[in-house]
Amino acid sequence: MRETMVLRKNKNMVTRVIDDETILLPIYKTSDEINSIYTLNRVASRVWKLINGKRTLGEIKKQILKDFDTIPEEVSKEMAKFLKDLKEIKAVV
Amino acid sequence: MKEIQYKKFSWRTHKKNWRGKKPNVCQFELTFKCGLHCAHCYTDCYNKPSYIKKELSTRQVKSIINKMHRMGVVWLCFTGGDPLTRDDFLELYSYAKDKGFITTIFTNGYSMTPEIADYLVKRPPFVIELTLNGITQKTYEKMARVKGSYSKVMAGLEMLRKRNLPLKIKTMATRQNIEELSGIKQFLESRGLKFAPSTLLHAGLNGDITPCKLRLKPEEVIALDKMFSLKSMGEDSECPPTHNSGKKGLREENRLFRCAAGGSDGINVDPYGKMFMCSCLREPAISLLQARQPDIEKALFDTFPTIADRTFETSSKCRYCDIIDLCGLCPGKAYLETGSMEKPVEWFCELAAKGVEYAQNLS
Repeated sequence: MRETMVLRKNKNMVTRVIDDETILLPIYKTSDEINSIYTLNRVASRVWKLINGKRTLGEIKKQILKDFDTIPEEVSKEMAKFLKDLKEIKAVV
Repeated sequence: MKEIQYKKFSWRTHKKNWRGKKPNVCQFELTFKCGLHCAHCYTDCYNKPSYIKKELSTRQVKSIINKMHRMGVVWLCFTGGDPLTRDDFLELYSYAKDKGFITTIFTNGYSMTPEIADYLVKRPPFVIELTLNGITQKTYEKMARVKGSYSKVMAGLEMLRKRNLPLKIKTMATRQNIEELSGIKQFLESRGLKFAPSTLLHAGLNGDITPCKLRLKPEEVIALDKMFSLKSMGEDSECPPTHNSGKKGLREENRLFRCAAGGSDGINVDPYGKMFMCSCLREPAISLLQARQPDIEKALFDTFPTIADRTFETSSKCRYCDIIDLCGLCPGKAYLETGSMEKPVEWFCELAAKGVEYAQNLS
């Protein structure tokens, strides 16, 4: 995904911190539809928080590099994988 | 991001917080107001304007929802009375949804409107559990004690069904609808819905034993169990399972509570904002409006589990009963009906004895 891209969260996905674990819940799935929920690691959880329909992916990446002691290549790789997952489950548009 | 099967998440979360860690589940009685006045209902005693006017405001409910969110509650059930009778129901429902609760609604369908149903299509709950106690006007209105209720409830049910909303039907089997139970089963099954009757009535929250007088005879309960493959014997299926089930030494432990009661991962909140252990046992309670976090934690991790760990203090015959595992009575129900958590209720004794007879005849 391009660094200039801006993503918006799907309002039907809500994060909760349950037992120190960040969980992404599809809150409008019914008992018949809900198959999965998703857990986020620390970086993914921070990325999710930063997605606000205004920040570009480049800005989010910069912020992640500031917040976590990690190298740019790793952040890029991890973010790309996470954003692909989010797209797949329609958590972002 | 890791994907977890919902069932696994549910099982893991319940297991992790079982007995005194933190609540995962909350049954929130948004109001005791209800369009019906069923004689078997345990909350109808408070379905009066003088009580309803003391119930929580919108702002207060939201403040309690915030506290539940901070407690880490995952599954939130809106019940009553009928929660749909609140003018602000959709506002509260949306508020809870936006907070990330997995939300269930208990209703009788009487106050369902096309507006509410349409809204729920856009933002569906996890499940709606609707109570249907009759399929003829005569039986339904005899039980509900409200003229015109039958057509309103049937319309409510159809609104939900036609919109394919997630629906489960519950039926309370009483003296008033026993003749109609087979018909209800047929009615539901022809609409792709499951028949799930319960026979375990208990006294009103004010101690009124009128609901108990509507219980089926124990032999009728056994007959229904046979006819509909139910399981009326033993603990209430809606209660948390016994923490000691199947463990040797339960009787020696002299434990009063066979269910997990306040030591499970569930809490109950009434329309005045009081939090307590189970829907039948409402003392001790803590006001969630006034309580601060340390008070809430003390109730959850100390007061409630201490009650749940209580042992028999009297020589109640329940204490020495050999067939108690077949008994549907619990300290909460006993308290409502007799004023004592330890006193037996003869109907449950007879039902358990009939259950033994039934099992013996099978073998």
